[in-house]
Parts: sequence; C-alpha cells; structure tokens
Amino acid sequence: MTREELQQAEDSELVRVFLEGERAAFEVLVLRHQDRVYRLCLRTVHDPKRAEEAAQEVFVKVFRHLGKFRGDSKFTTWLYRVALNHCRNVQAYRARRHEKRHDSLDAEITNEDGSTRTRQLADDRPDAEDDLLVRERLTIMKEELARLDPIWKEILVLRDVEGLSYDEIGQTLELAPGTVKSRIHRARGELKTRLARRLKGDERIA
Amino acid sequence: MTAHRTTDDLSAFLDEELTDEERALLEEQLDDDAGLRAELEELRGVVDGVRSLGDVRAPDGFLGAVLARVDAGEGLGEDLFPEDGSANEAPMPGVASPPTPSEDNVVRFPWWLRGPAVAAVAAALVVGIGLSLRDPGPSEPPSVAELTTRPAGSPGVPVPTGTVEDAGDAVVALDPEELPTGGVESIRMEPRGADRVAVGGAGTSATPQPPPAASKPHTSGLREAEADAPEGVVAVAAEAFAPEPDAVADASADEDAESDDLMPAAARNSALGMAPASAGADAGDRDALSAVASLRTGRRDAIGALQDAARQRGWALEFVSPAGGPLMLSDHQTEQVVVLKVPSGQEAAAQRVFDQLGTFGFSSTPTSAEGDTSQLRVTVIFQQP
Repeated sequence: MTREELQQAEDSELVRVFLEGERAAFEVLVLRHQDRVYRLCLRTVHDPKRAEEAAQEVFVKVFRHLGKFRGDSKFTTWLYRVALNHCRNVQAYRARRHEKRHDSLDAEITNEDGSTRTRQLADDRPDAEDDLLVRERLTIMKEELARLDPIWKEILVLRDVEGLSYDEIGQTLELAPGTVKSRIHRARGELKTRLARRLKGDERIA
Repeated sequence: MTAHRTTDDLSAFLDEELTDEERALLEEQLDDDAGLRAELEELRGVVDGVRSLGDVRAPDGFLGAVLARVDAGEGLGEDLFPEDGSANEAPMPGVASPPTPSEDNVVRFPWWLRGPAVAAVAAALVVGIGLSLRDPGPSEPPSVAELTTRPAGSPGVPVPTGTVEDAGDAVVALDPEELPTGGVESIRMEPRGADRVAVGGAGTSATPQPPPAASKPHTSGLREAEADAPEGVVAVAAEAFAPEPDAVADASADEDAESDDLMPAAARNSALGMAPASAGADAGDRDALSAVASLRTGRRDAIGALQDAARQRGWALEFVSPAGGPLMLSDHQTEQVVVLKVPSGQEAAAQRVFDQLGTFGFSSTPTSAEGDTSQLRVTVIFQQP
C-alpha cells in the first residue's frame, strides 16, 4: 500500500497490513493515536517526561503484541487497555520506589511543556488577574484529578478527556454498562467535592 | 410524575447516554426541581474542567523515539498484560531497571565468570547489549549472576523464546539484584541499539539461521555468530564491553573526568581501519556513561564490522560521503550510506551477513546489477544516544 493509502486506511486494516510485514502501517498507527495515548499517560502519571516515556513504551508493546489484537473490539479500545495497564504498572513502580510526589504549597510544578515553575497563589498585577484565575483553576483541576483514586481517575480521563462512549469504556475497563454509568457519576462527584474543598481553602489563603 | 430514579442519570444526561425515554423523564424533573438543576450545572462545570485538560499533544519526535526503541529491541519477551504489574515494570527515566528474566531464557554463570569474562561471552552474542557488572569482594561466597537473553524479533514475527543458544540476536543484561554487594563498582552500559546496523527492507527478520557445523553439539545463534559473523564484531565488541575495572571505577567516580575511554584505542582503530577520532570529539558526551558506551561500541563498530565483513569476502565496500569527501564519522552523525558491491549471485549471502550483524529492516534500496557485480546500497542508521 502507498503511504497515502495507509493514511486513509481503517485501524483494523493497518493492523492487518502491519502483521503482513509492512512496518509503515505501524508508523501510521502511531501518528494517528500518539496524542490520545500521551494524554492518557499524562493524566495517569502526571509528569510530562514520564508520560512521554510511558506512551513510547505503550507503542513498543503494541509493536510487539499487535498479533494479539483479535479485532473483536475497536483498535482504540484495545490500545487504551494496553495504555492503562502500562500506566498502572508505571505508577505501581513509582509507588514501590517511593517516588510519589507530595506537592506542597511551595512545591515545584511541572508544566505540560516539561518546564517547571514554583506554584503561585496570587499575582499582584491587576491585568493578570483573570488570566491567573483561569490558570490557577486549571492547575487545581489537574492536581485534584491527579490525586483521585485511580478507579475514578481512569474512567474520567477515558470519558471526559478522550471522549469514549460508555460502551467503549465498558470494553476497555471490562465493566458492565450499569457499572460504567454509576462509576462515572461517582467519579465526578468525588472530583467535585475535592475541587470545592480545594477552592474554598485557596480562597482563604489568598 | 415519576421520581428521579438515580443521580447517575445526571452524568449520563450530560454524556448523552440516556435513552429517549430516560432523557424525557429527567428533563421533566429538571423543569420542576431547582436543586436538581443546580446539581446538574455543578456537574457540568466539573465535566468542562476535565475536558479542558484534553488539549495536549504528544511531543515532537514521538514516532522516531518509538521506532528507535523498537529497533533497540525493547519490549522483547515482555508480557502484554502482566498479572500484577511487577513482571514488566516500566523502566523509569534515569532509573536502571533490570530486565525481568523468565526461567526459560536464563543462563546462570558462577560468580567467577562475571566481569570481563561474562562481558566477552555477552559480546559474542553480537549486538544489543545492556550490561551491569559488579566485581565481588575477595571474601564473598560464590553466587550466580543471571544472563538474560532476549531474542530479537521483527514485525509480525513471533518472538522466539528459549535458551541463549536459540537466540539469533540477543539483548543481554546482568541483573544487579542478583549480584553480591560490598566493595563493588557498578556500571550500566546501554547501547540502546546504537550498534545495530540497520540493513534491508522493511520487516527484515532476525530469524535464526540453520546452524553450521560446530564442535559443540548445540544448535545456536551463538554458535552461528561465532562461526560466521565477521571477526571484527566479536573481537571489538568483546573489548568494548570488557573495560578494565579501574577504568570503570574512574569513570563512575568522576563523570567529569577528561577521559573515560572504555574502548581501547587500538581495538577501535582496528575496527575502523582508520585513525581514531580526536579526543575533543567525545568530550561533550562524557556526562552520560551509557552514551559514551553507545558511541564507542555502536557507530564505529557497526562501520568496522561492515568493513571486516566485506574485506573477508573480497567484496568492495564504499562509503558515500554526504560532502563527497573522505568518510568522517562524527559523534553526531545519524546515518551513513554505504554501497556494497558483490559478485552476482552473492546478494543473498551479503544480506545474510547483515542479518548476522543483528540487523533490523530499516532502510535500503533494491539491489542493482552492473555487469557481473550487484550493488547493495544500504543506509546504516545510528541511534542517537
């Protein structure tokens, strides 16, 4: 197949072509799905550098094990399963190494672009107020999402970041439809409670 | 009016996952219940907040990094879904994580066979070597080190497993966890595929070849490598991976030292058939010992091995210099185009030589014929450390 044909092919077709020995098909799969895998890893391991490493490792696994994809579900569903499983292992590894980050109010924060900054709770410039508020809220959202129990975090990322349907989430996490529905709602409730508590606390500090 | 069945419906409503009937019912309730509407809006705020985190893209060069790791042999022999997350721990950046051996591909060596001797054995496996060494103290009891082999695979080809003898290509590592502690020096060298000569078309396989006649009765990629691989590969790699303990100690203790030349200059020159690179060329790479090892054992050995292979068989090997001048191997060079000229009918033999160097399909152009000679134009890809 030409490069153009590969780029227009469905995932399942790319898998088939790759298994026949066409490495370019794998490259197209990576380019097509690298953003979503990276996002998933980022929201799971919470560090851009580690997320990049983890996402690369996910695709290495895909390369080695693509023959195990049976095609009875969407490729993305299988890919998410591989990615989530790998990220769980990465987190377990970190936990065993006591590398869990314990943020404090003056802790250094890693930005999405990999740079770091020291947390700021306030900015004296009046014209920066709105922007700062948005950024602070975004930061708080990231941090509280990161602190959620994995059981809640994973399902929120799959639903609200990646936009998977309930059915796809059920296949990815191997959950019954009713469980998906209730778990999503409980996860949002958990995050909402955390955000409310956090924002209330930060307002007092500011 | 029917009571609101469950608050779960609020999330499902936002996600448009309710049936028409369920949605109509909930909308009725929302019309009548201000508290429920407030709850829905709070939930909507949470959903919008999480969604706002979705505008993230993979870093530039992501695909290249994935392919490099694939070519370096990463992930070979690992399970897709390890049971408890411990079997296939992902190595953290900057953390040397030992490979997880499985019983069917582990060869145990007595403690006295570690150090340079093991390194030499490992080097005989040709390519893809990650090595951790610890020298035991003199009073320590005998113990074993583990030599784990990971045969190389290719797209769509099941990864073979088995003992080291079955490996056509191998990644070798000693597990530091299994080694005695105390009075030791430690070094981890990870070529990360730098010494893999990328030859052939996409999907070129590292499939084990039929074993040649050998004095020992085991059928093996190892035996095959010893018998057929160009002499330079084994000899040079063995020297490269058997640093003098003092040299290792010096390099580990002082990463800022002016010289950490792990590969004897004579061996490198022999492999290259050329003058050594200037000392200054390597100065910038000393902060990462593994990077130094990669450069020394990878880029130059790959070219040296090609030269030896061609020389032994009487084939002509030409280097295509980008500038049209003499070949200059710099530490920042990413690839080198070579043209191998072989007598017609020996194309397959030429390809086999490359395969035996532990190659993966990566980049090449079809063989072209010119009289009685065939030309194989090959791009040797060097992975950046």
